[in-house]
Amino acid sequence: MAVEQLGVPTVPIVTDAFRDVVKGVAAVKGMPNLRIVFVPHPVFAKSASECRGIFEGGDPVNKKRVLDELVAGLTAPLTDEEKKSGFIQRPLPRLIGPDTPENLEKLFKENGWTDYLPIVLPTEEKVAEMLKGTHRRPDEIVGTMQPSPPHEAWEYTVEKVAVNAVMAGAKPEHFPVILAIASTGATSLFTSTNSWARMVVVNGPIRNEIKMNGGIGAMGPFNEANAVIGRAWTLISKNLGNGGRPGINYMGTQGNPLNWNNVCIPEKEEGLPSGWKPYHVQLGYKPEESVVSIFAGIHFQQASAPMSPLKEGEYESPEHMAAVIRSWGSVGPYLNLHATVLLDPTHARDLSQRYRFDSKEKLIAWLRDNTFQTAWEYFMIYPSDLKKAKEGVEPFASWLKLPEGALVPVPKFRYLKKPEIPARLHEEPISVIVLGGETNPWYFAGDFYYVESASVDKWR
Amino acid sequence: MKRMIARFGTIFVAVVLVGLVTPCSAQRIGSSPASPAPAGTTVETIIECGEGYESHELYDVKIALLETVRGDRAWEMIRAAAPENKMAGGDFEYILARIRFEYAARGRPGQCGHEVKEEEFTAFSPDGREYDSPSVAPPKPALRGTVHSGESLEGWVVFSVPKAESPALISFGTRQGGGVVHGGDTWFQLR
Amino acid sequence: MKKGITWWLATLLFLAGLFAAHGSLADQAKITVLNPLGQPPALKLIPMAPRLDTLDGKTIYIVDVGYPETKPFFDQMASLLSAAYPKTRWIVRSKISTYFEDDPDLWKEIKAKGNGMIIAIGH
Repeated sequence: MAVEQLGVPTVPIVTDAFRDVVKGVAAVKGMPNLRIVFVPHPVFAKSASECRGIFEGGDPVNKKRVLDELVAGLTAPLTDEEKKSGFIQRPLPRLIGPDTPENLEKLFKENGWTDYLPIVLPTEEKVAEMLKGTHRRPDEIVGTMQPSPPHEAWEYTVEKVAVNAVMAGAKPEHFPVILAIASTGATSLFTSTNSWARMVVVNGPIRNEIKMNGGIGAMGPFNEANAVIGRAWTLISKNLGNGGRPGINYMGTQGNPLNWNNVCIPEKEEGLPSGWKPYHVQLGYKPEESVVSIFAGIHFQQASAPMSPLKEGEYESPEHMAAVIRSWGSVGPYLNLHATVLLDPTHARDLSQRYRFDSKEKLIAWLRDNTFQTAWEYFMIYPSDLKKAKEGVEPFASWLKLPEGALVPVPKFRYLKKPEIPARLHEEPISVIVLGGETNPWYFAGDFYYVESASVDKWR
Repeated sequence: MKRMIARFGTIFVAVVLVGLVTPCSAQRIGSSPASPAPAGTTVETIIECGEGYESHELYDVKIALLETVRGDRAWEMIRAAAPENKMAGGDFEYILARIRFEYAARGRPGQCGHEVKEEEFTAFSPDGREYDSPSVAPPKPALRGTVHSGESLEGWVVFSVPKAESPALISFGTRQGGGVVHGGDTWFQLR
Repeated sequence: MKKGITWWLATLLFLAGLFAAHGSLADQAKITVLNPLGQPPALKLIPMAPRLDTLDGKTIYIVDVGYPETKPFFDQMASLLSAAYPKTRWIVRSKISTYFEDDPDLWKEIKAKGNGMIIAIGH
């Protein structure tokens, strides 16, 4: 569309799986009649003859020969509709109803405004009560949110966040945390054909004020604050963030079970070993500040990796942790290298006392230096070295002969030279959070990475 | 009896009308072409900063239209800015807008810088026709540069609008990461 | 006696009416709630670019957004279009970085040197 605006006729080609998405985006960006040509999905990894067949075959949406449609898109004169300019406002009514509660719940569900669990209907009285949880004005803009570029971002006020907080079953004391999350503009329902998830970690005094649970069952359905705050974020992402409509602005091919609650957890700051800072303090906040931190990723697993029978207590060793987090890797066509570890306090104490990691930073530095890549991962990042390997240049040639899955002495989380493929190595690719009820020194690890943080105190 | 029916009928109609005309959220000054901010007003908006595939950070932005200069005086300033600058053609004239752009992170990391450029501002007629940006060098300082959190930039942007058109509108809209405008475009009046 | 019975009947009827009214009101109790949706921005309709009267003598860019393993798609497109429209110059170019990233330099080049653009493809 940028090129159309420069006065150059364009024809985009899109696979038909994205028909609704792309037509919707073109419309909201001002060109509802953009001449899009559709081809059968998917196109990647198709052979030359298959691709030829696509162009000589039919557009599954517009029912025209693709090659002819491309030419017509560039040459057929514009219609009156295609020449239109002007503005279209889209005001929303503030109130819905009056109607019976049963009909309103049905309306909300049928419109996709819920997570398909029963909601608390956001009457004016309930929303007014929720608004007591903050000193901010109801009409103050909190933020804007989109499910991903290029979808449009919607804007929302304090009152709108309160509406969704009521729906989630939250109480006024939870509201500042929910507002802080909303103020980041981070959606919990990021759209991609990969099924993404988000996590929110709460630090500071607010955790205990609102009785969040960072102990036994912290990530499970065992605490009101954890539950409703995480749920509110899902509803906010759908209703305020223009998200969560499968096929339109949510394309995750299988969905992600973590989206139900978005791993809404407090860090168990009381369980931190001496010298280990709370996550928000690591970021530069003061300990007495209350903060939410957003993470993005696909999954977590309770850590498991083969343990050597020759080493006692290896499970609790940093080598075991390196073996676990080594397996997280790229998602999609870009390389993303990161990991988040959720350590039970007993395990954190062990790492601190037995293995002498007297700070999170030391543990993270060790993991960065001692988590190695597999040969294929290295060659994926540096295809020019793969070429050298095939030409017999060492050490790459020897690496090529290693068995599948073998490691090369190249740190995974520290680039020795600039990657040759699109990649993002975050400044701090490994995050460590302490969480758990000390019934077992387990830990969870996953491919989550830190995104951003916001103050809760600003929203009290 | 008739009076009672009339009374209840009136109340009923009033209730229906209230339901039908439930007010929509009021529009903020500068948030739409129907409510452009006049010169001297500062409008707050939100933009996004970041690269690539993931969620990006939101930044608070304050834009103030400090001053507008139009017609002959604008042309004098533009001519003085660069000898190659040409007069506006046909029935068009230049409008200069002096704009201040303030930028602040909302949280952390808050390290993403925003590149402010004249292309982010576009002139429109009140009925929505977009005017081409003129190819002239603006007077110094031009509104161009990168701002980081806590910084601001002030400078001139040049627009070309029909002589008879008053007010024209200008909108500010970023085109980040796939072209998403956060917070909607921000609108000002040029007189 | 008649008066007493009448009063009782009237009272009973009145009470029955009250219950009926209450039941009816409860069935019809309606509430108003707040709209949970965020505010979309105003739509700005953008007129599309004028189309070409012919492809002959024109330069058309075919822009590859860089999705992996799609080179055959672009090769075949260029090959078929070149064969069908030999008087048109077809230039295949790659956009920078990921498909989310803008490439203003390429757009400027296309504006300066091209007459049209085909852009593809995610997935």
